Order: sequence, then structure tokens, then C-alpha cells
Amino acid sequence: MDIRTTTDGSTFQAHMSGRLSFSDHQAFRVLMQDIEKSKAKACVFDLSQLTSVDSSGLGMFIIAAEAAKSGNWHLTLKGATGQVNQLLYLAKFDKLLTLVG
Amino acid sequence: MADRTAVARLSPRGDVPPARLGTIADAAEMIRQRLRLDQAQSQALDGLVAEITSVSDLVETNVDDLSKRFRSISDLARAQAGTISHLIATMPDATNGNGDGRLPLEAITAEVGESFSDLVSKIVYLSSRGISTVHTLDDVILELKSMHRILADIDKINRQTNLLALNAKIEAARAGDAGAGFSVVADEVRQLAKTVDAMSAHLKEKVMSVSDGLDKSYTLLREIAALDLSEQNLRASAHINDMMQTIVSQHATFSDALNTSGTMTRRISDDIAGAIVAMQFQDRAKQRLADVAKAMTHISNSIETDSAELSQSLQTGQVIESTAVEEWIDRLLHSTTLEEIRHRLNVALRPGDTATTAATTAGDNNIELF
Repeated sequence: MDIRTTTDGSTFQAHMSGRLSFSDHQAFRVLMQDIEKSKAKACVFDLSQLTSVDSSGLGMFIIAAEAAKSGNWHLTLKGATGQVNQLLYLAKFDKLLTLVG
Repeated sequence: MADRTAVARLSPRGDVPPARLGTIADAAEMIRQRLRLDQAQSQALDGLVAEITSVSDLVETNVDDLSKRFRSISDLARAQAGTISHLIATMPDATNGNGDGRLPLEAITAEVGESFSDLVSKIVYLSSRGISTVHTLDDVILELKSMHRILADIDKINRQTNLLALNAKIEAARAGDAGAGFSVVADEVRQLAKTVDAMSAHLKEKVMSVSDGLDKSYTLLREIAALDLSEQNLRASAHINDMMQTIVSQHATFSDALNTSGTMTRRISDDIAGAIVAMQFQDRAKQRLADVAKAMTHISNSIETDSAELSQSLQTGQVIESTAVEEWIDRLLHSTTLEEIRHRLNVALRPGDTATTAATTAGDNNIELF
């Protein structure tokens, strides 16, 4: 997976592409630390370029949702398609955070 | 008069043409012959009465048997309709997990989907715990790495200490007897450095062992956390869904068929009940045949009486007064039980007698049905 991040102070954006899997756990940890440092009140994961995800990838989103809750910031997953989108709904992410098309 | 003509036609004595007789003896002979014929006719009538009674009994026995069988079929059809209704009522359901109620099949399908979704949620949650643990392990590995560095520093210091002790030993030897005590100290320092070296090696070994264990945990966590949720697995979920949908639709078809079958069985039961009612014709036929037999017996008896009287008259030479035709008809009519038979017989014997026709038509309701 490749991550490209942007921030405008209030919103932190992470554009993910490729396949999100277990091997990305360190990159994901760095991302979480970056979000924390940015002190942004909202974070958007752009998943439109993400082709597939496994259970550890979805587990990372759970960790992000928990971090958002404890850090009092808002998490949105945006633009997921195909298998990624199907899995997000199958695993009931719509009840955990904000999903937008 | 019309009734007179009828009487003349019915009376056997009215047919004899008197013009052909030669002597009284001839006439007597002819009458004797007729009397024998009358007897034969009377016996034939008795035989027919027996025949009618026998046929009536035969029909009764068989219709009774048929009625019983039909009633049994009707009972079975009703029971079958009940079974089908019960089947329809219970078929669309399955017990729920609590065992205290029933769930329609559509709900089961939804529940299977929901269970699958729950399962995926739990797997994902488990994966998230795995990733968190991996992050913690990463921190521990970092700590281990710094321990490695510290151990390397200790080794370095130890080497220097060893070298220092060696130099002290050399200097002590050069100083001669004056350095003898110092040489002992240098030996002890070297010994100390050796001990520290052994301890450091032992500690390194332990750190390596912990590191290996962490590596293994890391691999295990990867296996736990990284569950393949590829499209193939998703297709399996879709396949389960399709299967459940097929079961639901097949179930609906089956239910429809059972409903139709139930309706048909109920109609069969109704038709059979109708057939049983229709078979009551036998009772009606039996009563009518009984009346016919009675009338025929009456006619037979009447022929016998007449013959006996005529025979006696021929023997004694005395004139016996014949029964009046009207009276004979009345007696015949009264020998029957059913009004309808009496009425029809009356119409046949007294055509044009509207008074009796009207009087007898009214009472056609004395047929006993079972």
C-alpha cells in the first residue's frame, strides 16, 4: 500500500492506494502518529484507489476508529469501491464510523 | 264412461266372447282351462314378487357396503386435509435458538446473513487486536535492540578493562618486587573482566532467545490478523445467500402445492359426502319396490280367490257374486304404502279421475330417508 497525506490544519487527509494488508502495519502506525501530531479534528481516509483489503487492513481501520474516539477527532472513510466497499458494510463499519461514497 | 272401459279391459271375464260357446259343458271346460292359466299367472306373479324382493335386498346390501366404503373414504379425505393443513401451518417455520418459538424461513435467511456479518465483524476486531499486539511487539523489539547496543558497549568496556589489566601486569613485572602486589590486583581485575564477559555472553544469549520468541509470536500474529477476505470468500457468502433464496422460493412453491392439494382433498371429501347422500336413492327404490311387490301379491291373491270362487261355482252350479271392479281397485290401492305409488296406480287405473289425482298428489312426503 502507498500512503500520501495532506493536511490543512483542521482536516487530515490520507490517500491510500494498492492493497492494504498485514505488511502495512508499520506504515499505518506511522500514519496514526502523524494524525496525532497534526492535532486535526477530522481525518479522511480516501480509499478510492485502494484495490483490496484483508482482515488486518480492516483491523487497522478499527484501531483508527478507536484512536479517533479516544483522541476526540472524527474519522471518515471515503470513496471505497468493489471488494473494499463490500467488506466495510459486511463488517458493519457503517455503525462504527462515517462511510461516504 | 272412461272408467267402465278400463274395468272391462282389466277384467279377465270381460274378454270372453259368449257367441262362440256351443254347450254349457263347453263353456265350463273353457272356464276350467282359464282357471288353470289363472293359477299359473298367480304363481308367476308370486315368483316375480320374490324376485323383486330379492333384488331389492341385493341392492340394499351392496349400497350399504358402498355407503360404508364411501364414508370411510370421506373420513380419510377429511383426515388428509387436516394433515395437509397442519403441514402448511408448521412447514414454513423452524425453531429459533431459544427453543421457545418459531421463525419463518425468510427470517432464517436474514439471520444467516446477519450471522455471517457478525462473524466478519468479529474476525476484523480480532485482527485489530492482533495489529495492536504487533505494535506493542515492535516496541519490545526496539527495547531489545537497545539492550543489544548496551551489551555491545559492555563488551567494548570489558575489552578495554582487560587490556588495561594486561598493561598493569606488564608494568608490575617491570617494577620487580615492588610491583608484586600490583600484579596480584591486575590479575584480579582480569579475572573480573572475564566474569563480566561471561555474564554479558549469557545475557546476549537470553536476549537472542527473547528475540526469537518475539519473531515467532510475530509470525503467529500475522497468521491470525491477516485473514484473507478476498473476493472468492465474498463469493462464498453470496453463494450462501443465493442458496437460502432458492430454499425460500422452493419452500413457497411447496407451500402453494400443499395448499392446492389441501383444497382438492377438501373438495374430494365434499364430493364423497354428496355421493353418500345421493345413495339414499336406494332407500327410496327399496320402498317403491316393496309397494310394487305388495300390489303384485294383492293381484296374485285376488286371482287365486277369483279362481277358487269360479271353480266352486262350476262344481256347485251356484252363482257367486263377483267383486265390484271399483272395490277391487280400492283394495289394490290400499295394499300400497307410498302415496306416490298409490297416486300413479290410480291414474293408470282411473284415467281422467282428477279428484283422486289432486287428492293423492298432496301426500307425497311419506318416504322415510335414512
